[in-house]
Amino acid sequence: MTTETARDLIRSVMELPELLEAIDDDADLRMAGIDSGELILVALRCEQQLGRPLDESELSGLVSVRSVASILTGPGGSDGAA
Amino acid sequence: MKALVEPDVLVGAAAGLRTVPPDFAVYEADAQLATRHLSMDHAALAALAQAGLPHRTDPHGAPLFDFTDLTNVALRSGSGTTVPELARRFLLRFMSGEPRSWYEERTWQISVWPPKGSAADDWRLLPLDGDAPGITVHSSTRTSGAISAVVTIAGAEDAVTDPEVLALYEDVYDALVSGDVAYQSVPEALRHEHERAWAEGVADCVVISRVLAGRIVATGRRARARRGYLLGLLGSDHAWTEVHEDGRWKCLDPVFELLARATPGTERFRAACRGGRFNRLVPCDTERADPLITLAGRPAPAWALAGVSSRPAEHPVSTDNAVTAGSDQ
Repeated sequence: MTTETARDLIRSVMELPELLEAIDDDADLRMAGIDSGELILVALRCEQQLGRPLDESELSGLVSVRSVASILTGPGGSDGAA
Repeated sequence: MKALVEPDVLVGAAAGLRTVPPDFAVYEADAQLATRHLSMDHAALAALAQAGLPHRTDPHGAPLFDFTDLTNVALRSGSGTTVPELARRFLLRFMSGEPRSWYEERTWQISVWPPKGSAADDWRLLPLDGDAPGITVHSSTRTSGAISAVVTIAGAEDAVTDPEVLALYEDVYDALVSGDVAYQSVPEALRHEHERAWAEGVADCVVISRVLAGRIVATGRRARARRGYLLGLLGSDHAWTEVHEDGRWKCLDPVFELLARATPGTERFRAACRGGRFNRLVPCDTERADPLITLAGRPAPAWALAGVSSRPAEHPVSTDNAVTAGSDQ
């Protein structure tokens, strides 16, 4: 999972996907203009992609493009963004 | 694109809904707002209007609804895909965790900022309460109407034992469980008339926190209605009651207990709602569950939620500038 793939997932739930272009991979998604509803949908898409519920710490850590990529990669996976 | 909920599902959810009383309703929510926040579109709104959900009509003939009514329709839809439903589902992950995860000390980087689209100076955010039990504010800045802070929250297992207080809690909780009072979103103006809201059979966390605090105070005990931010993915507004017992404030949260009720394995969490203080609730500076955000001195519109970002943070090594709360407020 690369951060570019994570960006695609995040863009898919955004009303204004162009907001994502202005931030780097470690920037806070909420501060960048992604609203709480969109962030909840990002969590939902992650669960759908992983085929399992996110645990509480994963939900709390869902704050940046890189953290989305990391969650989708999973423990021991290869994160092309790292 | 967001998945939209089918109109007939929403029409079914609107049947029997206790709508906002006309003197508190604000019929301004259009399709753009409904799509953005509630996964509804023009077709859904037209169907809801036809089904009789209270509304007005804009100059182009399109229906305008009360935002709170639409939120409650979404919550009742059972679609599992609306944002309010998903928010509740994710909240339950916290409630289903191990007790240690509710109480252990956690440090958070918190940012709160006013809604976009208006001059920052028009909005006012209620400050965080650095004197609250278990709260240590390591740093806090306010710029352009926004709050940025690093806060450590230490939860505590601290059951309320006063039988009369617990009986009052049970009365409130039972009214919610039985459906005599529907737990649903309530507009801020009606929250301020919490006894009327309760009498009309509708209550949210703010109404409930005020009703319970008022009933406890009426017995001569000390109680207060608190309001602040629920940290984590949701970053949402939440209110609860606190009662002064054994020389310290203890939390009472019938709403959290109600939300956990239908989920197996949450028995300990539900018991913890009767006194426990959770490590992801940061109170603001209010004892009456006042609005967290105001616009030109008045409660902000229902759609104008403060932006809240919170993420787990490292505990600062130095706490020289920390403000640590005592146990007896």
